[in-house]
Amino acid sequence: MTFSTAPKTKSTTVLKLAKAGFTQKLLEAVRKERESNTAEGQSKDGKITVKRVGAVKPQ
Amino acid sequence: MNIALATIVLLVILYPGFLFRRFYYSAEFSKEYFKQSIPDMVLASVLPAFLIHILGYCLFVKPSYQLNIQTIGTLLSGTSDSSKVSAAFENIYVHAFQIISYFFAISGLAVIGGLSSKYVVRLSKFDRKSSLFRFQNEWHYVFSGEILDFPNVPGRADEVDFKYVDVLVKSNEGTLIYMGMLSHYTLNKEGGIDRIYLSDTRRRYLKDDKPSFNIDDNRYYNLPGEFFIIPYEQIINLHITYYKVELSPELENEIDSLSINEEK
Repeated sequence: MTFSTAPKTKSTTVLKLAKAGFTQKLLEAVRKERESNTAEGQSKDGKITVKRVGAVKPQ
Repeated sequence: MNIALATIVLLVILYPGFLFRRFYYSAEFSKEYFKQSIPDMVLASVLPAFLIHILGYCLFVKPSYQLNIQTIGTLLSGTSDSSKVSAAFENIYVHAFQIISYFFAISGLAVIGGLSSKYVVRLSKFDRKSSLFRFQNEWHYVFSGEILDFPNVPGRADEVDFKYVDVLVKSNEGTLIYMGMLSHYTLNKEGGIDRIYLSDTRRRYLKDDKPSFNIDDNRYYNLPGEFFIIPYEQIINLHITYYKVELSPELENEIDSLSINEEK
């Protein structure tokens, strides 16, 4: 457990994606999610999926 | 009546309580300790100081020494009877080593007690489950995603991989929306936000609002750079979205071997 003055804002997965140069793909998935408003978005190549935490998925 | 002496003695007696609270409200919650007024700080330290002294008495005093209540009572009463005060100081002088040792020992108890109480509250998530244990740094709960573990809030904090923030900011040329991934934030001395740091930020004017998004939309202006820092005083409101990331197995394998320097 860590006690830092600010909370960890990005997970290890996201930091690794950034290091490997996949941030734009991640943002692509975010924009897709916001565009579709379905609480889920995927990058064009389908490698990254983002899901809104706490969102109730539409039936 | 010697009020100054009584006050000093009272502060010395309460000092383990101050120490306990200093370590309970440490790191991300330290602002909560410092933003209190001195009377509030003194009042809030009474109960922990009392409990630490009881524990200290049972552990260090009772087995080996006899507590001289009369000396403590004389000093706390603020009496102006110089013979009584002299006798009390004489008594303290004779037992100075034991008294100093006792205060060293209870200082250790206060530090360990403060840190371990915080550890128990944070680890068991009592602060998320009940407002009774909640720290006053509300921005910590919002920006860490721990707010998702509050009762009646859907979602779980441990699912969150990153936060995407929309910030509405006033400018001379109109109201702007900045969008980006939350990277960091700082608090001011009142405990409110001072600045927020976004990465991979873009902006557009609010007047260019339209019902749907378009990825290649030319309303957006990308802001390259590591962080985009926004002073909180310019912010009208914040919209925060918590995201969980899922990767295809091949991408997962690709990034698996990468090492990240994370804060310990």
